[in-house]
Amino acid sequence: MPENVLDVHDLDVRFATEAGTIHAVRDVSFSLTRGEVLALVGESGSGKSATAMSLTALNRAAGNTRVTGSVRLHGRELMTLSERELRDVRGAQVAMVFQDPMTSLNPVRRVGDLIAEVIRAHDPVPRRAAARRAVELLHEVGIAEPGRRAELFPHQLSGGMRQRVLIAMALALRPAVLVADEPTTALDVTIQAQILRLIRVLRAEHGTSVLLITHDLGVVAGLADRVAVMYAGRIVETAPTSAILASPRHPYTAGLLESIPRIDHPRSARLPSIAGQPPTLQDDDPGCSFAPRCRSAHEACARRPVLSDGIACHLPGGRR
Amino acid sequence: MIRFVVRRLAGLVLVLFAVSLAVFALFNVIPGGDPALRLAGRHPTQQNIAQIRHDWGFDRPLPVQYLDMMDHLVIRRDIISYQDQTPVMPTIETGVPRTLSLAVGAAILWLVFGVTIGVLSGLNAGRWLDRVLTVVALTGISIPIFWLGMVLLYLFTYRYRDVGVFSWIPIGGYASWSDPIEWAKHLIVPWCVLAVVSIGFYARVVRASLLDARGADHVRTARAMGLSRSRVLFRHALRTSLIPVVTLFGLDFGATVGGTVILIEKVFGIGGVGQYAQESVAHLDLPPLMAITLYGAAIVVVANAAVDIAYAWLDPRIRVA
Repeated sequence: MPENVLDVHDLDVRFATEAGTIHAVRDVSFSLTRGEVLALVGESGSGKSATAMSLTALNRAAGNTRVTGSVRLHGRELMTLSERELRDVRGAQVAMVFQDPMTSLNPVRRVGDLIAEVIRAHDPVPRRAAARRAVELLHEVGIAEPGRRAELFPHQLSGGMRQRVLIAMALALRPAVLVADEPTTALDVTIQAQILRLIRVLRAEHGTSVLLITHDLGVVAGLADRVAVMYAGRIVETAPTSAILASPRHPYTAGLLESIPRIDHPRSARLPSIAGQPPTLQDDDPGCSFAPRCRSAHEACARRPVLSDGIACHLPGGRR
Repeated sequence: MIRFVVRRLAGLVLVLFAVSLAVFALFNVIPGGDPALRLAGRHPTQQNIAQIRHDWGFDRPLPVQYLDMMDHLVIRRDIISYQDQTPVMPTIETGVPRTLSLAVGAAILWLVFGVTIGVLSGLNAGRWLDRVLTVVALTGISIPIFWLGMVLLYLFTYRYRDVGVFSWIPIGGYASWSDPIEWAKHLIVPWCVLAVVSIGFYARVVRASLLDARGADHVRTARAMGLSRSRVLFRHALRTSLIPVVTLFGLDFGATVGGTVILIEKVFGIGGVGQYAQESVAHLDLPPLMAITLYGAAIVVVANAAVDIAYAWLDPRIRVA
């Protein structure tokens, strides 16, 4: 059994807001082995991004956020590190690529400088060496004419190019873990495929473990080894990608898969959807969070199911 | 860049032409504007007035009068005031350095303090330092500056003039730039008074803008990549949040030179162009008004061009390709 690169245990995130406390992430545990791609799947507000931000305590500065639990990188606990110690982890060991490449790059700096700045923040190489390395990285992420492109400002690049720049920044220091928070959501379909292929290649070449955060099951099928489905702040099912796509056990996962439009179904057919709304994350109901929307809910669902054997459901497979 | 400068200069000429035309036209339609009546003294005869009209050229067609005035103003530079028949240009030329000393010094003060207070406020948003600075800024914005000017003048140069720290502050007036220490001594209080409102205002703008920038996606990227706190702040958050400050400054500097400065010059007896303008308006004296508005417009246009260049440096997205 390979040693885990990243171990997350009982991660819990609460935000204090004017409308009350939002309990965004609830007892989330997962791990990543070397070179593994784990997809964290769920709808908006299910706690995926809050989980990602918590890994390197990026939400700590917000002041209104309380994070508990344990995040261990190569066995080293990150939750108790100081802000200064965390800076050495961020970008160098755990790097992030965010959703919106249009706004995630500083608009007033040249992209080559942005990459070189990240290199120099962690590795005291001379300015010129860092600039050269930035050009190499741009080449590595598939940007043609990297020398010229390094001199451009973000607004002079297309969305796909900017996402490549962000990936180059993230990979500059060969991090052990890449957290990709909806890396393809803002891009059109052909560019999406290119970015996914790039992440796949980089993972194969450098053995980087990837935590892929997405609501797009197409992306999951193309990239992930394993899937963890989140609902209302909890992981409700986790399984290898092929298993979960072929035979989902949790009714929520099944509902998600049914609501994907399929090319082999008649166009006139109404797209199935999961009835109802996800619960607000303020109150903590004692039962299964999904029960109010579940087709197969019954009395047992008034108690919260625990995640065991990769599933948190009293009636895995449901009553059809 | 060269094209940009050339376009600016062409624009400058156009602006000055339009401004001079507007002032001239305005003067000739307002009631009581006829200078011949006032030049003629208290009990003029019709003949007197006609004579004066003829001598000063007021009986010629307006376009000719306009061209003649511009000739004296721009080319011969020997235009004479209607009010006291003194040459206008020397008075303005003594006034310009005074007015600019006042305005530029105050602008530097308000930029430095406004941005500093705004950054401190933004970094400590919601904490006591922010609250204190917010009160200070709002107080600054709310103080009428002519009142503040007079109060400070009273306190420093009359009431507490024996207190050591204030004893060196002169009662007003202006000392030439050739003696920088005297120059600064004379201007320090006017500078502060003139800057107070803008410091408060800029502090608020920088605070809001910095708070916006700190939540921006690209700043999150910088943090996620492990950059140091000061780098995230200065190279990423602050640089983008200064863009609105530059925009504001371009507008404010013109407004200050054309407006607030006049009050301060009057209160502190600095004898700048603003004071001269105010007196000329009071006497409906066209030649100095023409000269002053042209000077003023030129300074504002040049200041705006400088701001645009600074803007292009700060924000590459607006650089003309």
